[in-house]
Amino acid sequence: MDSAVAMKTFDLENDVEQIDQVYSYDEDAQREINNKRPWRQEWVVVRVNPLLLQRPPSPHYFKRVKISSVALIKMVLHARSGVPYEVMGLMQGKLEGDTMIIMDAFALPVQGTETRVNASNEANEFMVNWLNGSKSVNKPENALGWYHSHPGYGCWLSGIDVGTQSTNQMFQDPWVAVVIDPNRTISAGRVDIGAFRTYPEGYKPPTSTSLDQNIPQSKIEDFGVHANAYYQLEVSIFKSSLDNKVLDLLWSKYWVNTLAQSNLITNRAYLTDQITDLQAKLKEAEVGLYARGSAEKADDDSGLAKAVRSSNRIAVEGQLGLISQMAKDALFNRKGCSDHDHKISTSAETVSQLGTEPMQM
Amino acid sequence: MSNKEAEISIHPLPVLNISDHCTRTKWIGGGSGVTIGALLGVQSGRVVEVVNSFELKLNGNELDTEYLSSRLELFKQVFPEFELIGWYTQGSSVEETDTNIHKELYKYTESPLLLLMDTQSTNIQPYLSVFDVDNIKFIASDYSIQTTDIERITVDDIHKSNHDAHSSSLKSGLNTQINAIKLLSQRVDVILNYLRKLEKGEAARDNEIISMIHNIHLQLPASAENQDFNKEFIVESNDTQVTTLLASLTSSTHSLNTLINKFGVTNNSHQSLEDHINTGMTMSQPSHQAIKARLNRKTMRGRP
Repeated sequence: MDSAVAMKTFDLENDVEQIDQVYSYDEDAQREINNKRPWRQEWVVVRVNPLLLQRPPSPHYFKRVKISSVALIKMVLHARSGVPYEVMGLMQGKLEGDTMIIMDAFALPVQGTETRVNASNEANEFMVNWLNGSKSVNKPENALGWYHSHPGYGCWLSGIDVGTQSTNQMFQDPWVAVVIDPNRTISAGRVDIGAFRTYPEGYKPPTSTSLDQNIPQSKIEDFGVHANAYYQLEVSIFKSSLDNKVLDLLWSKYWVNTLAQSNLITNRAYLTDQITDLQAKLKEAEVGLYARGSAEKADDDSGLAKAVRSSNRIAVEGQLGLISQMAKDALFNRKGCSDHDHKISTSAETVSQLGTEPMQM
Repeated sequence: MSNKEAEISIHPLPVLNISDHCTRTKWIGGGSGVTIGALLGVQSGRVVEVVNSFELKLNGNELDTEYLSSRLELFKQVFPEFELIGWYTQGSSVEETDTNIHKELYKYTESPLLLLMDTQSTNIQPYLSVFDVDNIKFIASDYSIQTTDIERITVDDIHKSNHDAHSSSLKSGLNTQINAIKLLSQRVDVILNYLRKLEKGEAARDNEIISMIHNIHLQLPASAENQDFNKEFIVESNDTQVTTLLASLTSSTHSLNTLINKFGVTNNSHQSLEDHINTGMTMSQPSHQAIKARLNRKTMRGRP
């Protein structure tokens, strides 16, 4: 089968981990890591011994998060089922060097608006029951973190999230926070997910790490205040060899959907939201420009730069939707028309230019 | 559909969950032990939708019903709309021992569904059960894969696993399109081959198939003659292009602003004239280029 071959080469190019080894679990090794606490040591040593202060502390011990296919789909679907409310759940997993491996996830019976997403006592009882039950069905992994959804406003930690996460890191480290945006997942056509850990209290990151995020104007203040309190981990997905075969089976059953629908139409409401938000950002940028000369921010942090990022994102998503429409038009409506190839390639060029622009500046 | 008894649709989550369970049994359970679990979903009349699943365990040779009940209760707290509608296990055909477990499930649901996952040939096969005197008969049934938008996107993402932040959205978007179009072309090839063989007299003539092919043919071009569609399509694409134009205008404004800022900086500094020019040149150079590049792009876009 042609597509199978194409898919294989694509997977190889993209460095897919298909090693099933990751599914095994060594309880002793995990316990040893937990006893040693390598993620704590460096920070503690630096604080206790002033002589070692020369060496920069390393509060970002964990750098990567690997999420299993089944954990990802469980989290995304749960996030989607909660829209427009935030939902949360826990993740089970293990450690391997600087990587946190998420094997499975489960939903907690908690739902609410931003301020209320917080595990209560009831949820704690649920958690304990669930974890005990998991151990007897070949799921020996301990809880490794929590996830919650930000429907429509991107993946970052709010003030309350930072509080929850740092408390958890204090008392039950290793612990990681995962945020999923189900609305943007739909509009962008790819899963919008981020993994975060907070810095220890009192730690100031050397440079402000700016997330490449499109944050709504109404949330930007909350984002800005806490943006330096945490850092983002690199997220990747892994799957078993059986998953791979099963996915081929699934794909051969539902590929029609890809051709049968248009993103331009399904995302209309979302697009309107985005443009309203962009308008608010532009307005703010305009005010900022009048105040030129007085204490200017770095170029890529100004209001205008943010507006540029947002507008580029909107344009890229629009162009992608248009490309698929044009491809379908060429397939089903025209006979051997080369004009279309040209149009599509122009669109594709526009996307790649817009996509790289923020980096050039 | 060969079976008119029920329409079974399965979502990707239970399929992936079962796959995960099988892999776990192999790596953590040491290959021994059985893989069984419960299926959750919605059933209304003859329509069965399998939406979720969770692992079960055996107590000796019998189903651990206590465990099943406690897990089910936990699930109900989060997803109250889902019912227990059946169970799954690993294998290629229904075994004698499966019947015993199946009987237990009648306590939870009227007509439990059995889903067999064959890990060798990677096939899933749902079975409906029918009481036949005092025996249970299993009937293999057709099924379809049902996906919502978000499931499709997630499964695509897992399929591709290209989740580093730097991969472009263009690449992933186009790849999905290409893969779908490839499969479409494969199916069209099947039809073409059949017709060619028919022409040569190598294949048997089936009027039903030919009329279906004719129907497909009549549908093409799909909407080229429809004025309303064409108008809508043009409006939609113009809107998108305008959005893109506005986005590049915003970008240009930002570049100009940056340039002006930099001029401001150089003008205010009290350096020697030569330094002044040098820094002015080096600092503003990139912005000049950016603007030029953008102007070029715009003229290019202006052309049809």
